[in-house]
Amino acid sequence: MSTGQGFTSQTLGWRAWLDVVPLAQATPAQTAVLETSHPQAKTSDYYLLLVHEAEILRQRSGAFNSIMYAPGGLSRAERELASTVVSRVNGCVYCASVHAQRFQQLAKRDDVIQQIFADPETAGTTERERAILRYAIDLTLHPESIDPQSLDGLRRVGLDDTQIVDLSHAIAIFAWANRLMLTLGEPVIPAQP
Amino acid sequence: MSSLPAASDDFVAQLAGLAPDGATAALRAFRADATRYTQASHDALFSNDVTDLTLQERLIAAWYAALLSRATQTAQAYRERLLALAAADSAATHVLLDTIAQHHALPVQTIADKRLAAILVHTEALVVNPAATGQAALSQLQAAGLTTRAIVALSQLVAFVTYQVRVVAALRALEANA
Repeated sequence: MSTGQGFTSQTLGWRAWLDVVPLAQATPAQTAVLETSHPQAKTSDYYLLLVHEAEILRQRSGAFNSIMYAPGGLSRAERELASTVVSRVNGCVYCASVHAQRFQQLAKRDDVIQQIFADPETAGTTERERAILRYAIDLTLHPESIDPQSLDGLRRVGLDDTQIVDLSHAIAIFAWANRLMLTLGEPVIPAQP
Repeated sequence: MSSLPAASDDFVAQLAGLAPDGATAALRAFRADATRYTQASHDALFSNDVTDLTLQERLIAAWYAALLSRATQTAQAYRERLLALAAADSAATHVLLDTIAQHHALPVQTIADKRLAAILVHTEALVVNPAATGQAALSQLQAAGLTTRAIVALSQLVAFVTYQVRVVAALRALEANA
């Protein structure tokens, strides 16, 4: 388990700051959107809040799931690596915990996660990881500075253009996800079993 | 309404200036689901089904989010839609947008519409320093009359624009390399 700067890969909960839609009062359309959004959406404050605007949630979940889970292209572990560093840079402790865990499950290691939590600017156990993390930080903090040369570091370590599109999508979708999680509620540390 | 300059049916491709039959467009066709859901997210955010936030409020928030992200073309595109929407009153809208854009910090005191001022304050916080927003910020929105549905729609919209400008930035870099 990695911790540092308040960031952790332990399992956290999340509590909404606004009134959620009680599941028993959800319309059939809202229930259908919850079911296609996430396996645990019906018991999650996050989804039960967002489902106030069900059509927006439906399309956002479609974008998120297609970006993070589509087969081929960039490996799922590297997409989760990008999600974790973006969440770290944006300060989303909850998002970082979820995606650090997913990376660890896929990659069977957490050395780079420890580095990201300690200092994202110097993190990366390989040239390839360092190039991915550099680009993720730059696109997150300075999207206006991204130019053709910004992609050189990625190409040098072997990413093709499909993988660059996948990586860029995974970084960008966490600009979105982090902001929802940060502005609409807060992480909660579950009671020790 | 039909005379409004609506977003094209692939707004991201338009903003990134992608050649329809170019290599970057082909990469996006390979990721057709992500492309389709990105456009559908945009369409849902600007749909008439969003009842608790006016279209003008949404376009102003989207424009301001893009402006704060230094995404010039994206900000310009939202600005044009906003001016078209306000056709009968576009001079007042011009003045409002210029007032907002010319200040480094949001000139809340100069915005007579307190509900719009609250929306802009929250938009700026969410774009620039999202980790610093908190429960008190939501109370400010509620005090200005925003419902939970309005706050959810506003948060989704501003967060979406921060996604959109990053996808556009990456695709533009790829297109220049192609």
